[in-house]
Amino acid sequence: MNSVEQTAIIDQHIEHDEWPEENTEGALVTLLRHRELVMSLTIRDIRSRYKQSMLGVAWALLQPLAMMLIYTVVFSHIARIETGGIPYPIFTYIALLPWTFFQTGLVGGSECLVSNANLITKIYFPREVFPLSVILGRTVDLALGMLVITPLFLFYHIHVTWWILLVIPLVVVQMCFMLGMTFLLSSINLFYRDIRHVVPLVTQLWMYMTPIIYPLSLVPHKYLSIYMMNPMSSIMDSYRRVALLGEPPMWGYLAIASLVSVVALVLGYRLFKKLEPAFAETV
Amino acid sequence: MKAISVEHVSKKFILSKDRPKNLAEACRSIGKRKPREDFWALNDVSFEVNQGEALGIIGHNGAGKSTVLKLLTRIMQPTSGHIRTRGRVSALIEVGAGFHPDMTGRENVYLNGSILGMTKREIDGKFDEIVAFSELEKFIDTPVKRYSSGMYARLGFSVAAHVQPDILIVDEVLAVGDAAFQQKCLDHMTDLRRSGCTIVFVSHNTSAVTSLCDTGVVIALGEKQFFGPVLDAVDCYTKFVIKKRDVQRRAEDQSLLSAKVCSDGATIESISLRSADGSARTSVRSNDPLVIAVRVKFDEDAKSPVPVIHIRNNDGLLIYDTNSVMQRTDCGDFRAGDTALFEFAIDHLPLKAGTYPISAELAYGDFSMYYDSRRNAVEMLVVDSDTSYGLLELPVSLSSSIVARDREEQVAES
Repeated sequence: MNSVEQTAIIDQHIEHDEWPEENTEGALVTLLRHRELVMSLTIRDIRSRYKQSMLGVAWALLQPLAMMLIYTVVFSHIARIETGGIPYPIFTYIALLPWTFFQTGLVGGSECLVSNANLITKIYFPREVFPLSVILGRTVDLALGMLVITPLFLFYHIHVTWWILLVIPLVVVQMCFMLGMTFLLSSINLFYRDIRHVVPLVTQLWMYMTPIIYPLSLVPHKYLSIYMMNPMSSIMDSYRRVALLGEPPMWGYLAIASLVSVVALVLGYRLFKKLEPAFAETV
Repeated sequence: MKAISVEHVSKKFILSKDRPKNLAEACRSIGKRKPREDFWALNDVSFEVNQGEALGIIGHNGAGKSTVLKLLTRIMQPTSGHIRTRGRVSALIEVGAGFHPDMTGRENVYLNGSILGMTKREIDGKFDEIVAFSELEKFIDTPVKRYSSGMYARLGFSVAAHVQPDILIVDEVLAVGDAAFQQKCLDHMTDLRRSGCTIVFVSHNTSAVTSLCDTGVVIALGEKQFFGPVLDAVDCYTKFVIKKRDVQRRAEDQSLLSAKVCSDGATIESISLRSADGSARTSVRSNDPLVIAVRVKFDEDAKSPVPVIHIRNNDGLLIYDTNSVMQRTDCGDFRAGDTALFEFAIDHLPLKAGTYPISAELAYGDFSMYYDSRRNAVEMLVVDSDTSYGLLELPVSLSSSIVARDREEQVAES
């Protein structure tokens, strides 16, 4: 054996005696590495919700549509809310749809760790895939619900402008906020199951504090700045402006909402990762 | 090259009787000292596994085996100490964890595969192999909630076994499925090992452990009792089993003794197993020589007492029963105060792998009564050579020869 080979072998030996570095990769790298798992779990989330139901995914459309009908009867024909010339059904549907996304996402998301207890105690992978797959699963519902918007727009002769493209970044901002909330709620729910009872109540209340069944213009002006601290208010109002009114959103408030969403996401994720080691023992 | 290194690992759980169960309680208990009790599931456990080796973890229920696995798979983190692993770890802690009952077998293969860390392309490539291994071709498009538990387990194992891990961690999963499938799983793990995969195997089935593993760790009460060659580990474990069972046995023995009329004229002090070189053993290889020694203390004079041994299998079936009369041996006479040793020497133990409880009795020369009777006093663990199936290990040699051959070929040859 010549010396070159020998050195090579020694090198190899030294290399092998070192242990692989502890995993210090960033959140996005982890996510990218587990993208297929996220996809699988998302598909599982969707399938499990609609399997063995006759109407299947159609429920994703029927739910907001039914709500639209109810609110139209109550607030357009009985309470007669002034919407600025926009037909009430489309006026409320455009906010109701992303709100349903928000509400179901939060309710499902806060339960996502507890309902996957069998996986958490049996197999290791980064736990953030659970909140993520729940939110992505509900995004599919949202996309399906959006399909109904086209015929509604045609039916009510809504004039569409380029501003409507802003819907996509708006959805992204909303998802950031939802994800942040889900990280927070799901990890706390693991320790205190009270969360699962609190979330539906709070989201119900939250809905009335957000311009969904009534326009922003009905909010008294002196309360407006406080009212708009709720990021969902600004996001919901923006959907309506860019899609129905064909005008830009209120940039200042939207900027605050985006900032709040990103902060929620970062803090939620931090807390989630901090509590993660205790998940398997606590659940 | 080391594949797994566990250094001084301890794991503490908090047994909290009064842990606040809701926010209200949590608020009330702020500032108060909560009563809590620490439970050390593992205490300063260390071992190492080289790449391509198989390690068996043996211990009672609640000894801390599962905690070790959960630490190895990073499901939990140790309270102190270090665990390091090299390469992709695939764990079979519960078969079919992550299966969704409403989804079909096919969908669950993909779901479970990705949970275990396979990419879609990898699963595509191995799908047929996975299904073939599980023998569920016919039912692959049926929702798994319609599967029997055996089918469930088969599919789960098949997926996990095809992950191609660098380290495969297998918990007590072979308990499900029929004997043929269990054997198939063991064979598959042996194949994986040959291809360089490191295996950590947890089981109560000591014969499965010995046939698969080279080294063993015995864990009891959260502490490492032994780490070394698998046979010695099993030996160590068996001793623990006996210690633990002794208490239960004693009560059992009492009731059995009353059934048999014993005079208390002599006491069977011990039944021990020894190998050819005279060293005490509890485990033995098939076809190895073995001595079963019965030690008796006489409290009265005895004229040609008859020592009896029974070997049962794990199901309680009597597979061997002999005594000095049948062996045409007169053991002679003894006086009160004598201590005697009766040795039954077996040249080649013709038993397959398994656990065999051994009983001994000492009868009066005319079989009118017994001096003493000790039922299942010792357990013999047999490890076999993996050359046959069945109940017995027969000394078979195989040869082949041609006894007739077609004429034309003969011509062609010459």
